[in-house]
Amino acid sequence: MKFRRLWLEWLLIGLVASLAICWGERAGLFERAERLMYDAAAPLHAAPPDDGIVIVVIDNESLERIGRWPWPRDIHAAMLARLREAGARAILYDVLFIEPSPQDAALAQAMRDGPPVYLPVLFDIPGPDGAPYAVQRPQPALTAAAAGLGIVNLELDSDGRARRVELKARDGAHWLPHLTELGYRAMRGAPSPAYAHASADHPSVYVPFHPTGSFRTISFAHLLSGETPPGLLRGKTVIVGASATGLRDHYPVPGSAELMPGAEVQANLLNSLLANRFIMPMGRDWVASWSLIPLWLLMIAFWRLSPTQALILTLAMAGALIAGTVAALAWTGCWASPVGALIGLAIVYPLWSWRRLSAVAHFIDTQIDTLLAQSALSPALLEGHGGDRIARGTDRLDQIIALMRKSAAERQEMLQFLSHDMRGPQAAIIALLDSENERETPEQHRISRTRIRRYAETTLMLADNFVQLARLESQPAERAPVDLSDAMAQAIDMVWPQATAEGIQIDRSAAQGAECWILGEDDALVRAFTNLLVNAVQASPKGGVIRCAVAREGEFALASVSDDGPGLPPARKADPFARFGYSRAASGVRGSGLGLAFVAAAARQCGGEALYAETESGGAHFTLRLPIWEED
Amino acid sequence: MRVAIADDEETIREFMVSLLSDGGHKCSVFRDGRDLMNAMARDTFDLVIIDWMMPTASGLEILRWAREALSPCPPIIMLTSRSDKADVAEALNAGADDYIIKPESKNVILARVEAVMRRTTHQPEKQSRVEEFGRYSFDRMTNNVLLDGEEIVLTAREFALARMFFLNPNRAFSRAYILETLWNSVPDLPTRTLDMHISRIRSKLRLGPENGYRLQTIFGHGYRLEVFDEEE
Repeated sequence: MKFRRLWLEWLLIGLVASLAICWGERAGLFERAERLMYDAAAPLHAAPPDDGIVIVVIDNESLERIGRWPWPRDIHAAMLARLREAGARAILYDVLFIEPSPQDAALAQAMRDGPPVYLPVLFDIPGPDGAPYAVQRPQPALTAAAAGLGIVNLELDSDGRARRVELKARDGAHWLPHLTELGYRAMRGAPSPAYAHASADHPSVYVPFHPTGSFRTISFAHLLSGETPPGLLRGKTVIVGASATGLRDHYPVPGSAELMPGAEVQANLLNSLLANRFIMPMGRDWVASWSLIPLWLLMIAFWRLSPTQALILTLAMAGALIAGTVAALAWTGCWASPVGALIGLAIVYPLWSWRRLSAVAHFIDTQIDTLLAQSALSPALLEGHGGDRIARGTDRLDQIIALMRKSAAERQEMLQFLSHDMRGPQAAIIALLDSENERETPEQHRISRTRIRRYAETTLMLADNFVQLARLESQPAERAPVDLSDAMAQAIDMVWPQATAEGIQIDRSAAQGAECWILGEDDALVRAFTNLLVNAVQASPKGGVIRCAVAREGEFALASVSDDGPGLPPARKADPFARFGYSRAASGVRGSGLGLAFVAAAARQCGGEALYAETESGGAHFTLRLPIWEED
Repeated sequence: MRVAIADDEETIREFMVSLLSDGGHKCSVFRDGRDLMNAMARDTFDLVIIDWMMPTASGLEILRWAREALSPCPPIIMLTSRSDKADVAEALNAGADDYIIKPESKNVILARVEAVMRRTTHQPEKQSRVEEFGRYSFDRMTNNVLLDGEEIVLTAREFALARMFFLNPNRAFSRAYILETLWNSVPDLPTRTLDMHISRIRSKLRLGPENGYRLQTIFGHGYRLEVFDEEE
């Protein structure tokens, strides 16, 4: 039953977590976290910066030296001449020449003279006046002089960060490639594999950006004034672009805290094209599906693991997920976000721990109740200590177990008692009967009859004491006002014949008419006094006197019985009221300790205690000290 | 007197038969409860003595059935080894006339049987002023009791209570019966009142075996004054 319930809870938790992951993943709830992880991990997949790429930046210093933007186009013509002289292999000139300029002819000439120059087009989506898109090309003269025109579009994600670049864009019947794709073709003589792979539906690639400043970069002004070492640009593909603050050609890219200049974005893309290293993020459906695997693995493991092991496994799995997905990204470029899976673990572990803990707490509580019901122990007896509820529960359970151990020990003693003390007299009776024969004189016959009677009486007394003690200790008390002197008087009446027969006097003068009322059970008190008196009679020498007294002492009533006997044997003095306090070593001592254990239990039931002392002559002196009951 | 005895223990049956036959009673014995009930239904007994634990029908079942079904119902004494206070009270409150815990001496059993029989066969009350009970004499004019000639002063109610016990020695009185007869069921009477009166007559009259009487509490039920036989 319990197992079935736990199993259902297990299934429910697993299903709830699975649904939460699928829904969250598809609704893009984890996007922020996923991008955070992606941005941190993406640079790991970037190929080392290609030696063949050099960036020439139009930086703040260039604007200071050369003048305000836009520059006259003969400056660009001069730069192209400079690049030709330096031996550049191809030039990606990331500057828009859309508006006409008087120096266009000179620039076109410079472009034709040197290595192939590729120019960007402005590709606007959507175009003006309801057109799906608009392409703004450089001036016709420049277009004609250029080796090719390419798009430079970046796709910004919803968080404004550039992670993807479109490798091609459709312009009417044909495709416009990306500017860097043209650079790749100039260097390798064929379209890049990534370009070939890019389809109309998926024209974008995810670029593993290096941090800003990873590529070799030269200032435009420095190069133009000839301050750069010769040979630096020989055989290189040069990307010319802006980085000056005022030109606003900067983009946030993954892996970099600072913005990346457009030219460097192109350098990164070209570098990735050359190494053919891009990132392939998994689709959301796929991520949602695989996120369920670690979740259910953990759920299955929960059945077998201890709570500590489960925690360790959960943490280990989380670590492995992060490390594994990052490693996969770094080596293969394949990106499967671990966020969904991590959230799955984060849902499942506390939920399952809660259910488990609650099952344990419930179990403890029901066990305590059951055990209490079975053992007839008072719940008030057990006070749980310790901070929280479960600690208190376990504490109470501990106490119950201790009590049960104690009662098991008592049962063991009881078995000994039954086998020895109860069987003993019966065996003696049988032995006496067997030894009877015809030659017995009537006198002998009388003696053995007396002995048989005594053995039987002993057994009866033991059985009575045993039952009464068990009843007193196991049943709730029904306490009512009792006059102690009256209870004492009844007990004396009971023992009187036996005492008289043994020639022992009972002095009751100090016990009469005291009218000390206490709260207790009348029969238990009478029996307790009777037990004390029977012990006293047995211990007293012939002609001895047993003194009974009932008196008040402040809030307490004292009822005492003392005798002229030898007092308790030394072995029993340590704990006079111990049950089965009868020491086997001290053979010859009558009684099993049940009588005194009953006395102590009866005193406890009245909220008082039983005390043992010795009289001046060494006799036993028992006192019941019980709180007095006053009528309201 | 015709006495029915039911007990599944043969030794006890024989013991009871010999005890009561010596006292001049005619005994019928039964070994289980069903037989006894059949006999009680068609025959008349002056006294029934039953064990608690018996095959086919327990003593308590017989007791309840007899009080319900028989009219007039003979006095019933439970003779059993069940010694628990709750058992004694249950049987007496269910209508048993007395309850004897085995083993008990012959004298006590005979005294109890006689007490029950005396109760059912009405005796003419003595009309004399002074009633003698062993060493005690009760003066109905002065409400005083003499113990060995020593005068003991009692209140009217103490006197009535003591006299009730002395007139019915060995008989079990329930608290309810005593309260009804002596206090006429005064409402809101504290339960302790009776205990206090018992306690007082016990100590004033020095009721104890040394003076030939023993005032016993029947726990959970009531009281009984036992005549104490020194020979015992």
